[in-house]
Parts: sequence; C-alpha cells; structure tokens
Amino acid sequence: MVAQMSFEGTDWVEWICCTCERRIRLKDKKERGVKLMMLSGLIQILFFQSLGELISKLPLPSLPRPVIGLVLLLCWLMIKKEINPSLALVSEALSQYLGLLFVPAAVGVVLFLPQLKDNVFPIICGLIGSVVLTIGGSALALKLFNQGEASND
Amino acid sequence: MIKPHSIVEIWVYLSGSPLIALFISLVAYQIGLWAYQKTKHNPLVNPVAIAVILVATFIELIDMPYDKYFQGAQFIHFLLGSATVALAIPIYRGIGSLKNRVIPLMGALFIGGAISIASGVGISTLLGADKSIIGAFYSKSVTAPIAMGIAERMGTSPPLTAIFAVCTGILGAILAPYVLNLLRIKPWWQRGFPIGVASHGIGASRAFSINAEAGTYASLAMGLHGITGSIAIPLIYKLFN
Repeated sequence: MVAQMSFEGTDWVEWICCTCERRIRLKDKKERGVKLMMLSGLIQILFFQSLGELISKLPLPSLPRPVIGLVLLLCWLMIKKEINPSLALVSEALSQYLGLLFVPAAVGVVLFLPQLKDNVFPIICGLIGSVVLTIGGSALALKLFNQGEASND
Repeated sequence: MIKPHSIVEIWVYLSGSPLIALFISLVAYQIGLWAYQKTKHNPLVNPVAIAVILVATFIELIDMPYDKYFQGAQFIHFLLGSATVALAIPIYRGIGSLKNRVIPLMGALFIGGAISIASGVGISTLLGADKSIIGAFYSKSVTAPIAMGIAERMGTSPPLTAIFAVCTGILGAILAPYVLNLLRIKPWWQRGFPIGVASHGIGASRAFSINAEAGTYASLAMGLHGITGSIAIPLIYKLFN
C-alpha cells in the first residue's frame, strides 16, 4: 500500500514536472513562432512594396508607389481568400503606430508657417465647410442610392 | 567635473546624429498618445497633432533646421511606405461588408470624394488662398499616408497635405454626429460610411468608439477612398492646373 502510494506520489511529481516542462517548451516555441511570424510578415510586406516600386517605374498611371504595393497585396489576398497570421500580425503592429510614421513629414509644416498665417481664414473656412459638405453629401447620396436599390428589388 | 565645453561637444555630437531626431519624435508621439488616452480618446486631443506641435516647437527652440531633423527622422518616415502597403489587410477585411451594398457605397464614395475636392478647393479659392495652400486641399480627405503620396506625385506640398488631412480628420470626427443627426440618418452603416469618406482614419476610430458597425463601414470608406483617390485626384488636379 505504502509502496504503491509513494510510487503514485513520485508518478504525480514526475507528471507535474513533465507537463511543466512541456508547457515551458510550448511557450518557448510559441514565442519563437511569433518572432518568426513577424519576420515572415515583414518580408511579405516589403516584397509587395518593392514590387510596387518596380511597377511605378513603368509609365503607368501616376499612382503613389506604396499604393501600387497596397493594390497588389489586396489582389493577392483576394486570390488566396485568406490572411496568413504573420501578415496580420505585422499589419496590426504597423497600423497601430501609423500616426507616428507621418510625424516626421508633417513637421515639415514649419516651413510653411508664414504662409499658413497669411491664409488662416480661407484655410479654416475651407476645412470646416468641406468636411461638413462631404459628410452631408455622401450621407444623402448613400440614402438615395440605397432607396433606389431597395425599390428595384 | 564636466567642463562646460565638453557639454557643448556632446551636444554637437548628438545633434549631428540621427538619434536626437528619432528620440524627440518618439517621445512627442508617446506624450500625444498618453494625452489621448487620458482624455478618453477625445478627437480634439489628436496624438499626431500634439506630436507635430511638440516636435516643431522643440526644433525651433534648439534652432535645428527642418532638413537636419528630417535626416534623422527619415528612419521613421521610411516605414510609412510599408505601413501604407499593410493597409491592404484592413481593406481586405472590410470588403466583406460591401456585400450587396456595392452600388450605394461606391456611389456615395464617388459623390463624397467629388464634393470633398470641389468644396475644399472652391472655398479656399473663393477666399483668395495661395496656390500652394489650394493644392493641399485636393487630397485632404484621403488618409494622411496616401494623401502625402498623392501630393508628392502631383507636386503639391506633402507636409501641408498631411496637416490638412489630420485637421480634416479631427473636424470630421467632431462634427459628423451633428451633421448626420440633422439629416436624420439612422442606420449605423449609413452613418459610418460618410465619416470614413470625409475624415478617413481619425473619423473611423471615432466611429468605432460609437458603434462597431459604423466603424467597420468608416474604415472601409477610408480604404476605398485611399485607392480610388490616388487614381482620380491626380487626374482631377491635372484637369484644373
């Protein structure tokens, strides 16, 4: 009885140790996996970005170069009909800090400060007027088109 | 004891390396994000706007020319292209929501895009703005990274465009609920989409904070406007200039 219990006891300990080890190994694998995934996602994005750069050398419509990459990647995703997890991971990381990425270029506004000062009134009116009209206009268009669609059915 | 001239030497070294530009950009954005979170995502407290104001003030104070700042910060700027390519993923996810609403959504997108250019350029021209200022109005309703790419291609000013895009985003995020209530637009998808058309990512994140369906449609609008805008806006610009 005692022998059996102690045997069972060691068995338990061993079992716990084994699972712990396995868990640690699993966690390690997962972390390593995430790192590898980051890399492969970045490679995919850089690949499509470079492809876009290449195509922009052709005398095609004057799309901004990264947008060509974007469209190519979008087409690729539509063909494959799935987003691989590594791509999703990198895209999430990049879009989380999208705002930061255009700070350096936007700071260039310091070069235009005198001009901005001279044109304060038209700029404010233009921005506010345009945003209100755009939201209103597209909302009304959406409503009208939607009603048209519904009555066609 | 540190001699005073050695501090000057350190300063000369630091301001010559990209480190300081990178550092102030990251710190400024971190402060912006912190303020944005502290105010519970108030659109007026936009992290990009705060970061730009902080960095601009700082480089004015230490008398650093913008070129020099950009030389260091270009490492951040470089990733902008990759981040723009990565926008394909949210757009792909949003395309599912197009479903059977393709015609009304695309119709609204084209009309909204046209109004955005016509009203922005029209109002600023009527009120006598400078030519470079008017040029920056063309792509202001497109998400800032793409808007800057469009401006670069058209030969208008990318920084002005970025600033106008951010301001448009903030204004749209604030004003949209009032405009939509005035027009009695009820369905969430019909409320979200116009916000995305007019005020891209900043509007979309505001829409998300109100309603998930509105947010999905707003970011779909932002993506579609980014792609169609980068084809159409340079053509329209050429037509008028």
